Amino acid sequence: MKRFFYLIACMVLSSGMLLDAFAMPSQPPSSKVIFERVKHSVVQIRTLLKGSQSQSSIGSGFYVSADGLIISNYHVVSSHALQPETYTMEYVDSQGAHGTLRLLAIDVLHDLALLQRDGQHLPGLSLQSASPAQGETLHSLGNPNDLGLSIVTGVNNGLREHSFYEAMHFTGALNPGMSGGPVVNQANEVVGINEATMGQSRSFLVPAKFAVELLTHWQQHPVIPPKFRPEIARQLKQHSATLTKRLTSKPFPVQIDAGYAIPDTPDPYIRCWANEFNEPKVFYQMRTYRCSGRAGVFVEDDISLGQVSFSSQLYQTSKLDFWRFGRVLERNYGTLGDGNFDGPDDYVSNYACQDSMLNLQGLRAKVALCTRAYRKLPGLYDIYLKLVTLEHQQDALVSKLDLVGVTYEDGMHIVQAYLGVFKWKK
Amino acid sequence: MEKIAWFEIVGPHGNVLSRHPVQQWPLRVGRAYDSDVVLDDPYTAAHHLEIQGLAEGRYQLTALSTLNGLHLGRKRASDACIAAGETARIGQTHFRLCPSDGLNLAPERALPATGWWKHWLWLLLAFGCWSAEYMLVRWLDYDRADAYHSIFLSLFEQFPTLLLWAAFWSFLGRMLTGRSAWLQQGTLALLGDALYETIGDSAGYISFITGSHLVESLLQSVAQPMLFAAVLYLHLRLATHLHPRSRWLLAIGIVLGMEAFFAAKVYLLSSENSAETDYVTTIAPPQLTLTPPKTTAQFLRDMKKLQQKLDAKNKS
Repeated sequence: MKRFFYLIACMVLSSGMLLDAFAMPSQPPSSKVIFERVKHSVVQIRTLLKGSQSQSSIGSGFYVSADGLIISNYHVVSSHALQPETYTMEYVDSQGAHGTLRLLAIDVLHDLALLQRDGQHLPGLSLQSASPAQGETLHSLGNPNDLGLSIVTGVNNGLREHSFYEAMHFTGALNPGMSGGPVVNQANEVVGINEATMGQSRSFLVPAKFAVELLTHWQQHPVIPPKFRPEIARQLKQHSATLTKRLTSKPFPVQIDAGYAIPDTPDPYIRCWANEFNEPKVFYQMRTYRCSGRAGVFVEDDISLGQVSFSSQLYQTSKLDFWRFGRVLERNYGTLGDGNFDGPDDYVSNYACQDSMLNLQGLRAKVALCTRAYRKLPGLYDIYLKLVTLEHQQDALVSKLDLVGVTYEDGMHIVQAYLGVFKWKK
Repeated sequence: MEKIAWFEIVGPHGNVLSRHPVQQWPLRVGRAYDSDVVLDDPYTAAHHLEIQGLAEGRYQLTALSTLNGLHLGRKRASDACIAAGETARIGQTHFRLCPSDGLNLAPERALPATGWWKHWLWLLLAFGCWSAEYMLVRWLDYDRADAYHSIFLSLFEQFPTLLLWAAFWSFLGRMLTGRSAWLQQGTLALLGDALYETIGDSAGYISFITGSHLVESLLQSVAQPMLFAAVLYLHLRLATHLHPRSRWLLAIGIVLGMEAFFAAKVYLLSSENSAETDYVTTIAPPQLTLTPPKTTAQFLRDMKKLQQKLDAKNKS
């Protein structure tokens, strides 16, 4: 009997120990634990108006080495990168200490920046190039709205669809001020960098592998450009070339409507929508096909370049003669742009336009091309192409292509590919 | 006593307001009752002017003790010598002197009233042209069944402006020449506006036909202002007694002034509105165009030049 109780006691004890043994390794560290481990590696980055201590913008960053190398977003430091004579930068660490920062390198296309503060024995985080699994819990740290260092827990939802460059979809609620902060897995490795949010827990991260590339490139070529603006222009030209290659590597796909070939999306990055305008009292009908890529490459507030969008409107009428039908077409063809046509100022030149009558594979069309140059980013242009077909009395196609911030040569390649689409089949 | 000359007070349009026989020299003019010619002008002195007849129809004028003096045209003089029929002024009174047998008379003019219906006919014709122009343009934009009234609406929108324009010139004519000539002013305003709008509206179509935006620019920047200057000249001709050269100078001056105003406005607002088109936007029936279509390759070669043009402009 004594042995029986001993056995029972042993079984109860051992089952408890067994449970403990199985439960302990699968128990994820809590947010509290992660926060305590990582918080000293995260800094707030402030952009200050030179000559004053007033901050112009705030963001976050984190150490990636013991000697003070910091990764953040390019958009956090863009004011300083473009106007170093007006803006300066400083960090504030978890202890509240602050000091100046130096900008070492940027990757505008992936929205990353590498900075340095003075110091030694700093708690650098390690970067993990491999993508985390979809569904993995991740923790994001940063300074939302200047409220103090915070941690946000969310789930990795894999790579964002229809994105030109890879971006991770994260379901944590990122807020302004957290940009540039680290997103760590449960092993405290940085797998992504806070970048953007669409609200309602739809947030986007830069995969850590691009930060690894930036860091490695810096370690191999530790040269700070005297000015960052030419470097930004160079990277944007690189983006323009990549964009052009992706759009023109194969002929534009088309869809046929009323015999007209209409350009369709040449790349998953560009998404298309369609709708119809058909009112009984109006003497014509119109179907619109609109395609656009997501926002381009951020350069500074209100300036995002390397974008492409195009739209086509198919008009049909049985009640208008061509004099009046021409006026309907003119109201669309005669206007410039869909909102990208803000002023000439010191940033961009005024438009120069030229038009011509073209023969597009047997389809007669009036075509106009307008272009303007970026004065502050030499070698980049906005190119706007529009055409109206003039082959039939009762139907016509008005089509517009809008390229923002590309090189002229790349723009002409895309224009050529775009014009190659149009034809009419019975 | 025998009269030896006439002293005539004339109105602003050259019409004689009163005529006084002169029976002896010197002739004294002023507000005082012992003057030979008694004036009712508060801007003249009691004894303002003394006039002495000279040989060959000339007269010597001498200002007496007066504040406002004697004026020949715009010049003030203490004394002056004038010929018969020449006008001088004291205070606000214009006067002239004539020999006793008067000045040479102009031949009798035909009464304009004999052809009054012709003016009405012209006015109706002008109104017809003007309405047709506005209605045609609205008809071109008529693209929905419930908007037919917009074709006529344009007439009601534009007519008050034109009426005010014609009324202004009629009023000016009434003030400066004594006659309003409102039928002619109205006809001129209607015809001028119709022609001006026709040039503007057809400019795009002419550019479409020729394939040249330059034609449209020239019509809008040269032909329309020239027409406007001509219309102004004709309005001034009806409303003033200005010399033809002065009329042209004034008309062209007004047009150039307006052009400068609009150019300054465009320049000052250019940062807000840069989407100014410098290519043909008008779409007309395709068979009208005279330009042969190009190939895509030719078009892209031309576009290379556009980049060079833009870059050159940015460097300068």
